[in-house]
Amino acid sequence: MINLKIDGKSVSVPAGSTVLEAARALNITIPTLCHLDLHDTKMVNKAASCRVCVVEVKGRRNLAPACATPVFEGMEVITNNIRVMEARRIVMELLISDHPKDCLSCRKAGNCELQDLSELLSLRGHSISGESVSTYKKDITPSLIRDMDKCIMCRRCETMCNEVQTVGALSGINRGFNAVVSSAFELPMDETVCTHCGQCVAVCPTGALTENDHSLKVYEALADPGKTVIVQTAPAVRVALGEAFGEEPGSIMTGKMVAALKHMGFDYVFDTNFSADLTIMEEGAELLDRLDKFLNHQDTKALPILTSCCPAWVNFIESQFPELIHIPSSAKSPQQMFGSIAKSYFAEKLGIDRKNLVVVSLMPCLAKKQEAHMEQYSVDGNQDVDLVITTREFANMIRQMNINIHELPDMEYDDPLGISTGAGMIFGSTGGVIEAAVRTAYELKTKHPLEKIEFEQLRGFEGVRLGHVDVDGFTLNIGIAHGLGNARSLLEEVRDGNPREIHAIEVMACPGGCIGGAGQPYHHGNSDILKARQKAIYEIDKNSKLRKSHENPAIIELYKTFLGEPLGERAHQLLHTHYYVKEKV
Amino acid sequence: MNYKMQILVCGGTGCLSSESEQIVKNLKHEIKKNNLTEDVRVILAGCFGFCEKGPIVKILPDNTFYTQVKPADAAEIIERHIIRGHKVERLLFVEPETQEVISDSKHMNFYKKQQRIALRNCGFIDPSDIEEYIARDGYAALAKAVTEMTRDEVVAEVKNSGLRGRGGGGFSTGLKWEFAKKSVSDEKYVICNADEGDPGAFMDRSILEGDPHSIVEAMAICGYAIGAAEGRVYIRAEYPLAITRLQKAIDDARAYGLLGKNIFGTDFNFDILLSFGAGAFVCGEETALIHSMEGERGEPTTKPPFPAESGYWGKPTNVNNVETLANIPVILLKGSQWFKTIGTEKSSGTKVFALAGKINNVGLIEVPMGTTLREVIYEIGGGIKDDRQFKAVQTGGPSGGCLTEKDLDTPIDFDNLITKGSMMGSGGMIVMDETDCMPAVAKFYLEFTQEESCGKCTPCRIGTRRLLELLEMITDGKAEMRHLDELRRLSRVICDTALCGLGQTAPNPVLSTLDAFWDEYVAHVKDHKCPAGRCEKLIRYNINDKCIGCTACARKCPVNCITGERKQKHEIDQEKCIKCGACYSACKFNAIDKM
Amino acid sequence: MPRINSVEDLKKLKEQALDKIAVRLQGEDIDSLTQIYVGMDESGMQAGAKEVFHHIWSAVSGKPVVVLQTAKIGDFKEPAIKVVRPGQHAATVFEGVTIDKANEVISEFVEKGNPIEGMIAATHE
Repeated sequence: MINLKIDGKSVSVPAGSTVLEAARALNITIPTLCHLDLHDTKMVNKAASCRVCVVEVKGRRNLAPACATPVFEGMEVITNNIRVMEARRIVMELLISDHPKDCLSCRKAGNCELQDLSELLSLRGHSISGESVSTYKKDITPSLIRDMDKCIMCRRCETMCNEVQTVGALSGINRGFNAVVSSAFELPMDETVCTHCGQCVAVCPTGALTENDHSLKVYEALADPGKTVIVQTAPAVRVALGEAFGEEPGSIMTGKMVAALKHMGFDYVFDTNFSADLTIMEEGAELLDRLDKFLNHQDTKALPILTSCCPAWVNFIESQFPELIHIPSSAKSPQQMFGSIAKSYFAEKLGIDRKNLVVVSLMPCLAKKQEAHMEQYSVDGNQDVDLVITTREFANMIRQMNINIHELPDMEYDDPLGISTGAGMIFGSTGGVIEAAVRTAYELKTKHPLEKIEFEQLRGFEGVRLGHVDVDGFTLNIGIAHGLGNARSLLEEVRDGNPREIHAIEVMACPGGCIGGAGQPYHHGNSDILKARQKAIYEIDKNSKLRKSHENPAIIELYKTFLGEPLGERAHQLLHTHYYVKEKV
Repeated sequence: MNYKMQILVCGGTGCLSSESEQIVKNLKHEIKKNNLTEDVRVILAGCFGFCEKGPIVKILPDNTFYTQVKPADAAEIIERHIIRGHKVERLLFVEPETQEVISDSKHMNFYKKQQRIALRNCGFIDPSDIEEYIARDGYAALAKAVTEMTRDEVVAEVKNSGLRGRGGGGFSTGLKWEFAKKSVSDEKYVICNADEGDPGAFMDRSILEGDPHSIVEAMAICGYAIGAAEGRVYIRAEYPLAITRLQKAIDDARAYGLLGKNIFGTDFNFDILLSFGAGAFVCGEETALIHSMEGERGEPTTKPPFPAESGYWGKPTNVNNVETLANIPVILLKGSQWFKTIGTEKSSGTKVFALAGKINNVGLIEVPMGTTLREVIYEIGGGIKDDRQFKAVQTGGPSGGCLTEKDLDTPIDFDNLITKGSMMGSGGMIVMDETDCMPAVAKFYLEFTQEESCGKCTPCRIGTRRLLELLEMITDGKAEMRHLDELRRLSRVICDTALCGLGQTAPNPVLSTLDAFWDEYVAHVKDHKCPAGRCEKLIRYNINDKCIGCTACARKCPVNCITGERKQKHEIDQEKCIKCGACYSACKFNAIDKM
Repeated sequence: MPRINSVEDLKKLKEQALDKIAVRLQGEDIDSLTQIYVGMDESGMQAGAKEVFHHIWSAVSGKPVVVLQTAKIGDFKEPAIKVVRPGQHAATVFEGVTIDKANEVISEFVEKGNPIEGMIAATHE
């Protein structure tokens, strides 16, 4: 243990700690900006480039960055004398002097860490002379918007994209005043290996990286008398929405969320959990089919099978592991299955043309915006899913429409696409998709009911996990990864001979699974929030009446009257898709 | 082959661009023509240092030192001096103060106070010939180290010598080696920083081009001491000749068994590879250098961890400057005690300086630490050019500051220069006279550091830009007094908060000129005047009474701002004047004053 | 290319390589060597000074003597040579130096310090 003094107070911390950590132990909060520590998901941004957290260290000639300076025995630190205060102010003023002054119209206003620091330091007006500012071309994609004029070179997005997600779409470019983080050759993100996972948006402290907000378009659709507007809600939204309204992380807001949506004017409020059950029907059948080929017909290429509900994950395989493109399940994601069924089965039921049905999805995710936009998910130019709004956008809409969410009574989803099981619910957490698939596959294959519905061996928060499930004497080896960096290591294992004989793999691009999606309320580096959301997911499942996808009566009805058999011709046409090798920069 | 006479032609930077290679060619041609190839040999050697008087040609053994030689002079040199023993008088050096003709350079004021240790072989040997290096005790230090000394003894010798980093850091070299030696690892690296980036600096370049083997040997000695088997030289791509010479030296050393496995029959293995820079001054900073070598963006990272603990590919790495390394073989052969007799108590040895600016003897010099600025400028440098007044001397390049008249008797060493508000840096020394404008000098250095900033940390990326903008306002006459306060405040904070040496020292030229030349800054701000007459926007052209109304100026003026009748005194409209100076050049009657 | 596998190898190579830089070393140490100047120019060369120069050069090989050419030494019978002792300014001139006389100058004057008939003390360089 190392003993040191900060602002005159003594503290003991383990060797290797930084001054920032030591200060925290004393409840002294040194302001930081570029620093971000999400060590539970291996994300630590150590750039020490903003210089906001500088402190005075006795015996050291210049000021030291608290986030990156290790403690030593007998160290004496001052965090708040005039020298430090002046330095901190001037560093902030420098940042602001090269930053667009449009807080009033900026997407990030109210959630911007630069703005927060500016308030903390009571910066009023600009006192640094000089007028040049660095400007760049804006990049607008269906999922995210890059406005790099607002970049402060904190490098969080670069660290996240290169070291955690191992995608490699972002890097520092240029030198000096015009240095900025951007894509290769400053190409639009759509032309790079960007998976649209949006984790860069989740960590960006300013308005440089934000989501592409669809809420205005949703208002327009709701106001259009000729359109029937329906909405599907992803499982992960209901356990995080409360945080935007001051509730504890992990509060379960299902009933109020549905009520808010109905109050907004959606004609039908449905549940993505329903189409999650549908996904299980298709993917479970596919799993069993490929398992059968593998075991009985010696088709070594049949396994492993990969889940394919995460579009960022699909983008990742297409651009980084083209040689493995045949192994993901051909099932569409729950969002897209919903859109497909809504615009055929449900439109038919309502007796309206699919063009007059607007499907909105409420997602924790940014990649879903890009997925909904894809040409292969449209019919004659009409998308299966028209608009995607994130949890954050939805929270804003609730406030904008003067709806007091706390006072809303709980309401129920509509029939038939609102009926779901606990298996559909757990899609929101890492390990949930494969657990849901196993629940169904087990019963269909063995024709026995499950003794225990929960598969604890598939749950958890570690980045890469291996679980084993006994199916009639055969041990099914299941690999689970969340975060694309972890996915990469699993894929490399499979590509290089699959020594652990993994039969099925579930991957989610975001930390913790969809609960950590880039569209959720900002967690600002606090992984306890993610864990609380995860806990809530499993709790909803536990308290659900129905917990296996194949027991969902609406699903059974759908197959009986409309789809036929899982993997059948109609199912194939509506609910399955193809993957394309993408050569990207 | 015993040659009776040898002709050494300077191949240093300045002389090479004045066609010294052609001089070599011509001399060889003349020698062949006169059947003297058995008796006379011509060698293109390294830098002699007296760049002002180059190209230099030296005849051995009589030590005749010819200056300002042209390729066409080759025939006469051979015909008169080599054949007929008669020196070519017009090419001999004349000491300006005494008008004395001096044939042997050791009697020249330029050379008298110099002591060439790092440059010991520059201008003496053929840098492409390993055997000439060996003839001068080359590789004897390496032999002594690996066959007679323990690794600890080598480190101790370097430590005791008091050698400090010549790249500008001034950190104890021996201590650095000791840290790297202490780190435990199966792989360690020795890196030579040959990315010399200060504008106008060519100290390292001269050593690399004139005596590349000294670096090869020194790196091997370092490798032995710290336990590294791999060396790397990070050399800037803008030095193609240095690259060629160094690569040849490495190839030859390998062929002779002085690099590779089992050096001198021991179990010590060492080899060197070259790595090239890509045009970034910031990559002279050791962590940025290492990242550049690893293929990453050349940005510095925080220290600790220091490279001695975790450097190239995370392994213990020792990074040393070229000139620092050049001293190592001599220290081992002559001993640390000998080295300590040279220089001052805390800064032993010599320093190579690139002496430039408004001085008579521009060139490369090497003097013992402790030599005063006055001695360098007035004795070695020959005083201020054109009989002007000394105003300031800038040391340390873009990281340094200006010293003035009152500092001239300061003995040069690491610590003294810092107490006077500047620093040694890598050895740049630029002399200024009354026609140099100090705010403009500060601006020049800021333009450089702004261009070269990597952009990682806020104070350097944005702060130096704001400093530059303030200086531009000052030199354009658009600043107010409060901007001078802002300049000082901002400079102090940048020094205090920047991540690496580039940012931490970028404001030094500003701070030192603000202190020493406050009045000049105030003149720019309050009076909108540039006392040195340099800042274009502040120059005023005024027509005086000598004007006879010839209208020459009015006709030349591109903005038609001069009015006046024929044969009447003309007048310049100051509002419209764009300060181009066309009228000033056109006037034949000295009737226009430039103020 | 000779390979150096030991310290002895290096020492041997150094000895051999010294020849390459011999005259440069002489130039560096010139004040500690005996300097023998042989006067050239037209008149000297006509009288055979070049041959004398080459001869003396070979004769003093290995000794602490440096042999240099110079312009006409003065009004002396050529070939004329002048000898300067290490560290001194004063020179001793010898005129009419044939090859035999040169040998005498070397063995008697230079090596033993004995005067030779006809030698002229000169104080100019």
